[in-house]
Order: sequence, then C-alpha cells, then structure tokens
Amino acid sequence: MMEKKRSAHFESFVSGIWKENPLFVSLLGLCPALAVTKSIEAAFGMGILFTLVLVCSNVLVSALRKVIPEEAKTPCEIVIIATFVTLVKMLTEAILPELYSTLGVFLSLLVVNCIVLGRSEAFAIKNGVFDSFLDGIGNGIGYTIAIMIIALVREVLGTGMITFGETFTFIANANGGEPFRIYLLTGPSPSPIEGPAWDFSMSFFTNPAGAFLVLGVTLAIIAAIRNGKAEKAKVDARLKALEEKKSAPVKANSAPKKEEK
Amino acid sequence: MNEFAKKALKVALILASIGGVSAITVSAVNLFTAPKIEANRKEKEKKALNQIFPSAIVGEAVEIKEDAYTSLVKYWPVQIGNEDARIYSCSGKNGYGAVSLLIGVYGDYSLGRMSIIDNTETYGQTLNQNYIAPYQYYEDGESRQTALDDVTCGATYGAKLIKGMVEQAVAHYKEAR
Repeated sequence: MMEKKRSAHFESFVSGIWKENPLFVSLLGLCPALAVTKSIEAAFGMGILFTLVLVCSNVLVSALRKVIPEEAKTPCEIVIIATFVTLVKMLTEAILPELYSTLGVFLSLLVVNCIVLGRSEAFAIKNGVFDSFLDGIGNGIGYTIAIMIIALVREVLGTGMITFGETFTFIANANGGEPFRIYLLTGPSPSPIEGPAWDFSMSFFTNPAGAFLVLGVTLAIIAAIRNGKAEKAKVDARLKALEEKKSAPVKANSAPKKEEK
Repeated sequence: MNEFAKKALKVALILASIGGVSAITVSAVNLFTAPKIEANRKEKEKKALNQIFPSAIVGEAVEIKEDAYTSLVKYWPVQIGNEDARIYSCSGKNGYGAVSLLIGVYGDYSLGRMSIIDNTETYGQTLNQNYIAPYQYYEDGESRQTALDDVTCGATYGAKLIKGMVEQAVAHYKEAR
C-alpha cells in the first residue's frame, strides 16, 4: 500500500518533467516560450517565477477543493492564480527590477497561462495537497528545462555567445560591473557600434521567427526520440512473443520425455 | 429561501471571501514592496540623470502640467559650465506598450543623451540595442547625427513615440525661453 502511494507521488512529480512535459508534449505555454527565450537568463527567471505561481496556485486550489463549489470552480481558480501572479510580479519588481523589465508583459500574462489554469483544473481540484505540490514542481521544472533549452540554442546561434549578468545584475556586480560573457560563435566587440573581428552568429534566431524554427526542430527531435523508443518497444514485444512461441513446443515435447524416463 | 437562492448565496459568499482574502494579501504585500519599487525607480532615475550630462549640476525637478505637452512629466534645469540645459522626463504609449525616458536638451536646442527608464514594449530590447545605444555611443559629428536620425525618424513604432517626445521637449524648452 505504502509502495503504491509512493509510486503515485513519484509519478505526479516525474510525468510533468518528461512524459507529459507541458511545452514539448502538450504544446502549452507557447507564447512566453517564444517571447522570453532570447537569453538563457530571462528563460531561467521566467521558469522560476512560473514554477512559483504554479506550485502556490496548485496547493491552494487543492486545499480549497472541498470548499469551492462546482459552479464557481473556474472563477475561484482564476482569482487564486491572479493573486499569486500579482504577488510574484510585485516582489520581482521590488527585488529583481532587471528581471521584471526583461520579462515585461509576459509576467502578467501568467494569469491566463494555460498550463497554470490547466493543472489547477485537471489535477489540483481532484487531488490531494501533496500530490498537487509535486505536480506543480514537476511541471514547473519541465517547463523551465524546456524554455532553457530553446533559449540556449537561440542565444548561441543568435548572438554567438552566452551572457550572464544582464538580467541578474548580481552576477555582473561580482564580475566588476560587467556582464560575464562566453564567446562561442563571435569574438569580443570593441564598442557597441563596431562589430567583432569575427562573427558567425545569425541574428535571425533572436527574432520570433527564429524562436518558431528552434521550437519546431526541438519538437521534431523529441518526436523522433519518442517514436524510436515506441518502435523499439514494439520490436521487443514481437521478439518476446516469438521467443515464447518457440519455447512453448519444446516444453510440450520435454514433458512426455520425463514420463518415458 | 428556496434551494436555488441558497446555492447562489453560497457561491457568492465563497467567491467574495476568496476575493477578499486575495485583496488583503495583495494590499499587505504592496505595503512592503511599494517603497522598495519607488526607491529602485529613483535610483535608476538618478543614475540616468548622471549619464545624460555627466559633469553638470542638476537642479530640483519641476512638474509639467500643461495640456499641450502630454508626453512630458517633469524637467530638471541643468548647469553645464556657463551654459543652461534641461533634462526632460517623458512617457508615452504605443500599440506595443509604454516607454518612459529622459531626454537631455542643450541651450541651443540640440539633443544630449537619452536614457530609457521603463520600456514595456513587447520588443522592448530592440529600441535600446538598435537605436539608443548607438546614439549614446557617438559624442558628436556626422555619425551622431545619423544615429540621432535613426532614433527620432519615426520609422518604427518606438522611434515614432520617441520622435513625439523629443519634439515636445524641444518645443517646451523653446517656449520657456
């Protein structure tokens, strides 16, 4: 019984990360995934704030699930989500103003994010607080990883480097006031106007069209991996069935032999 | 009271209590965050003022309340050596969001540096990276004029918004003199 419960908790947590990843599998939350994935820092910030809102709203909706009447389910969920988004927005503006200005309107738009509302509606309202908490964490981590993968590809291909410290200024402060840059496809630029000595970056990837392309290719790769796994499972099942068929007559033949002895 | 009325009352009460608790929580957090947000904004404004005319003496801010200057919020009189100048705080909106920035105007009505305070445009970073940053970089000469034309040409929604602000700032300064 305990084992079953433990595996159910584990399933709530893990499914959101890979099996039911909100972005790569369910294709939810596409708008912020395309808009804030210009830099890995912004994507990480968005992922953390998104996880915070998702976990808090999931937990509260789950805790109030017996009080909330069926007729007012959606309005109650929206009020709860809107409250947490407002709180997160105010705290971010006070504590991390650069992250707040980078995310801009997409932070407020979390109120109508289909993952947050979807998890409340599909999971939290029907399950216990602990499971809902794990579901929120799992989906949050899954979404954060997904947008960070897109951001990594876009930032490297689009700007030719990875920058830390533009959104999280404490990194720049630790680096003597200058953002920390890892140059990959481009060289250091002597001024904001003069270009670097060598540059293989493609600014197309920093545009929304580039985001669509990266998302499409990532989805195709994931689909190929999943299909490959499914095909392998099918082949394995067939082989197993064949082996069972082969071994069945041998057993039938061996039984009379024993009798003969 | 019939069944339907009882049910409606129950739903209304629950919604009202969730809304009430939500409002109280938001207000409580706002009490703590509002001063910090205001302090952040002032800090940012102070940094931007020093960037616009680095060696100047900046006076006290004066509010602008004239109806003709809808984009102008306030200005700071500035003393650069023997010359007068002004820094205007402007804000405006377009279809993509809101922009508020500081614009430096010299006594001969030529433009000094600009600094973005807030930019909630969906493609907000483009305005700073592609237009304001190159303009800030050039001190004078032809390149600066070209960069200035890019910022204030009105070719993009952001540039159109800034063009309006710059025109109002210069007009206000001219009228005041």
